[in-house]
Amino acid sequence: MLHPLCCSAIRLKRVLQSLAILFWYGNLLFSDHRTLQAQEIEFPAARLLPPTCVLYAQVARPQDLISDVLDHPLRAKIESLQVWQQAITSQPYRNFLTGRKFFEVQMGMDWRPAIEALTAGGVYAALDGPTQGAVLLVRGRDEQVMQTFQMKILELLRLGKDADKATDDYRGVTVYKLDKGGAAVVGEWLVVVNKGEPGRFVLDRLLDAQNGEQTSETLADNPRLLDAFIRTSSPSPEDKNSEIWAFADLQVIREAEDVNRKLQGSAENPLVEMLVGGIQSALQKTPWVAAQLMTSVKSHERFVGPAVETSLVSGVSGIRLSLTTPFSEDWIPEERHHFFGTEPEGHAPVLPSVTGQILSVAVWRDVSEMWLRAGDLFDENTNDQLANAESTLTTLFAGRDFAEEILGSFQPETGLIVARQDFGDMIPQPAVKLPSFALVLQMREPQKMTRELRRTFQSMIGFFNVIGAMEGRPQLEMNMRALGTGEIVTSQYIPEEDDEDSMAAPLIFNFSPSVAFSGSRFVVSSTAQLAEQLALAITEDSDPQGQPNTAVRLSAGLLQQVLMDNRDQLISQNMLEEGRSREEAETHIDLLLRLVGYFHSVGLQLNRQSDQLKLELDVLVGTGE
Amino acid sequence: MIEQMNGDIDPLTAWDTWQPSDGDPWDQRAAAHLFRRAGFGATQEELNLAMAKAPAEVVNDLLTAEEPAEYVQQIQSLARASLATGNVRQLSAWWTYRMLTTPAQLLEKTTLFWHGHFATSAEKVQDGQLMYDQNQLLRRFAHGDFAQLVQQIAKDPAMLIFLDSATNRKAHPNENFAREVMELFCLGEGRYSEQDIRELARCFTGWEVRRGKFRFNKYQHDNDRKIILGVSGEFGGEQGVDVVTDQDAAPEFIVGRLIRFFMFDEPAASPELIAPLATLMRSGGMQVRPVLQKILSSKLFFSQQSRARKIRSPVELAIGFLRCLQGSANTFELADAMEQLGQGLLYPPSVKGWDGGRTWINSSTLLGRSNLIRQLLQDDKTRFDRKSIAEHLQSVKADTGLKVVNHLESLLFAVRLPDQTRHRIAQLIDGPGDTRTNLVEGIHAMCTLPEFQLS
Repeated sequence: MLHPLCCSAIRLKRVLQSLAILFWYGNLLFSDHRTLQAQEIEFPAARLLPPTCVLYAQVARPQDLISDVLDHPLRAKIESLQVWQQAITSQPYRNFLTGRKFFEVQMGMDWRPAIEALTAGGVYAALDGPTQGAVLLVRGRDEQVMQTFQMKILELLRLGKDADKATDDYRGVTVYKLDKGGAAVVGEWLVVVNKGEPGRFVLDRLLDAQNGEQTSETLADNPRLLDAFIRTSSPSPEDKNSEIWAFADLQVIREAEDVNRKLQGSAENPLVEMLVGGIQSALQKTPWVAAQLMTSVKSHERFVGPAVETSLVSGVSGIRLSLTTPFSEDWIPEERHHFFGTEPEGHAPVLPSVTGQILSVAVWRDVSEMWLRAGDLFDENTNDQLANAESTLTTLFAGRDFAEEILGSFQPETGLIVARQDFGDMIPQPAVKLPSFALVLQMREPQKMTRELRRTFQSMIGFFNVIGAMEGRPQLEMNMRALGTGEIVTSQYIPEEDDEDSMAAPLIFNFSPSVAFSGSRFVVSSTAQLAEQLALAITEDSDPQGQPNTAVRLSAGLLQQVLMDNRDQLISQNMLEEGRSREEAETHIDLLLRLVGYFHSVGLQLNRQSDQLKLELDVLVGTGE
Repeated sequence: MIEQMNGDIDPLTAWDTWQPSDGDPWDQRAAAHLFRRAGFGATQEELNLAMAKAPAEVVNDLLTAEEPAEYVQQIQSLARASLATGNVRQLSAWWTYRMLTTPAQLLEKTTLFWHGHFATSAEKVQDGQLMYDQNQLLRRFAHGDFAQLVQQIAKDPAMLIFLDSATNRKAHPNENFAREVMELFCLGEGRYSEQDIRELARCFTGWEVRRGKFRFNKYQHDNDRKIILGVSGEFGGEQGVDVVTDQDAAPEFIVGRLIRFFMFDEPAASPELIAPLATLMRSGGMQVRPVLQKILSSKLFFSQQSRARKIRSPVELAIGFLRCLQGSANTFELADAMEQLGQGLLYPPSVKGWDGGRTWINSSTLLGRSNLIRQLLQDDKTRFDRKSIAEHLQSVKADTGLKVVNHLESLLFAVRLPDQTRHRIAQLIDGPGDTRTNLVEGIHAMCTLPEFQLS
């Protein structure tokens, strides 16, 4: 008989052992679950595809995608449009309806449940690198529905052809010949290929699996695919929104296509370098890129700036396209440190917001550094042009080195704001009403630079007036006043007698070039109104570290208003470009304006995280109300 | 052969009103000839309506046609929109659109005539508003008083800028403008002396352009006596112009230009042929309309001496092709294409305007003309009565190759095509392969024929 203490110790030991076993099993279960998810649930198609596939895309739940598109409230609005009503009376649409009816009769159900049944297990596509063979795999709800599809639809391919010309037999599977490639049904899978080799690979995997045989290496064994999927798909409920997921094996593509050589070529355009230079360097090294298309996105959730909050409007939803790629700071060469920054990494500023704001672009770019490193970045021609420009600009800035002293006097955090102009009762009003735009910069030494920039602006206005006088254009009149704790220097075109009351004045009356200073903030704007608004606007307190590298937001509603402001102009341009009558052009432009109105906003942001780079594009639509 | 043709014309009867006969009927071919010259071309429907009337009545309709107020409003709005862009080239597209759509095509054709006569290029003027104002001026006086038109042109800012006459001081009179008034605008070469030019130039001193507007600077005007073409006085610019347009040579010069533009390129009309119309113009107070009416109703106009005796200008080629087939197109591209072929609207090559006639055709422009038709046929923006060319031809029952050839020949061609050519093109259209491609190739083949180059 054991001592009670011993019994207790044994019990404790057993409990601990049980816990340990439980923990171990749990751990095992958990890790197996992840593995199973990756290899068997999420990648049923990848296990059928050749390991040499370089592109892969999947729509795991097509029924969700179909529902998001067809059940969207906008659908009814679009279908009520006159142009839609006209389109559905056209012969091509009637032919489509006939085809759809035929499909429904053959499948014995309405087209939508038929499509949902045929694609219930997902739709998958891939491109095999060595053979350039494209593969489409569709997994049906069950074998029965796929059999029906085979017997009622694929069998039609035999009509009017000799049996041996219409089909092939591969290991007992009937392969229907298409113009290029073939199609076959195996179990609950429909396989469509344009090349024989990847087709045979897929059929072998399916047939081997049916026979319980070991399969050889497949795309599912590609470590980069698994890495991409695990890093870009979240097991959270949000994951349900990930309607389309795609993967590109850049490591293989670069080797096969020598893409690296193209990526390494020197740029010819500084603007392109500013926009994508860092991404280009990352693409030279990164092993893969994954894309996700999510529907039912409700807002620009991770967007920078106060305008985000206003986008949370009832009934607004849309799509988000995310491109993700692994990232390492070491991949960015020294000459491109202007793009992401080094220690600390750069973050776009939180921009002030103004009334009528159509577009905002917030970036972190060290333009001064980019200009100084131009010799390493651009070809000779571009460098010559930059040298000429720098010479002129240095003169304009009273001999101060433009790249180093002028550009260098600003922080890399830069913003561009475009806003609708409110002309109100103002006269003259231009016939073409352009939005105003402004650059928002941060001065490193406000005390020193304010005076310098004010003087330079005055010189430039004087220069414009001299040129304008030579060309018979109206002159700019300058003004300067205090603005809060800062100041604003404005200029305004003085209309000639004929234009004084004009409501169709020349384009230049869209502009009243101005600069404003507010603390370290420097605004250079196409209009005095926007310069003043931006100088006085208060930015929200926000953690700079939480900001992305680049953030863009476009408001479709305000864009629509700007287009409405210029409706007559657009109609006239359409008449001349398309040769239409005014009535036709009006219909066309009004439709365009209405379609723009269906959109709510577009957001784009580039996020550099410690180990990955993510580009997200959000397109939100309203309900058409 | 040209001299032979000139010899065949009897100046005494040439301007008699044409009376159709069984041997020389008022048929579709004659009506199409009238519309090609007194405009850019006519649709089948317009020709049918015309044939139901007498030729003189149709000429009168063409001369008195007015653009409805709604159309004028739309076209002005279109012009304003073009000007608002600040891009002068948009005006070329605007005028192309107007030529394609105006219900008063003789007015537009005559405006084109005056644009070539008082040639001014936007290339130098670089001001859309000034070019538009001049274009409107030419249209306003197109069928009116020539003497008044010259008076207005002499103060037109676009013209003065184009001829470097924006400044004209009495110390250095600008002879350039005075020379063009005599040589190119009113009298023609050999009707004046160098001294007349110098004297007329003195009349224009003090005429300036400032900020796009005409200004008379009295301090820079030479108030002394001048002797112009034998007439003396303390003339200002207006009186100087009057002296020139009062010359007998003025209506003779203009009538000669009108005959060349509306009737035949070669040979130049003889003084005897011109004289009756010059008298008519002078007695009518220098009005252009009676002269045009006489020309377009005349025996000579409907005779073989006038038919197919002109080479289509690029504008006549492109606008005519589209108007005859109720076509519409991208007018920016069309205006560019016409400029490539040598006739850029608002961009004449020099103060002499376009030489016209045989100069329209060379190996390069011949290929370009062919390409223009192909471009029009293949561009999705080109529509014919809002349809594709195939649908349009189906709608007019031209559903076989031969019917297509017959239809296009009756609308677009000044001369009959040889049967062999007609059948060859019909076979091309009916041939195997894609129907639309065959149709485009067939029409394109027709429009590359030498006969298609004749108006």
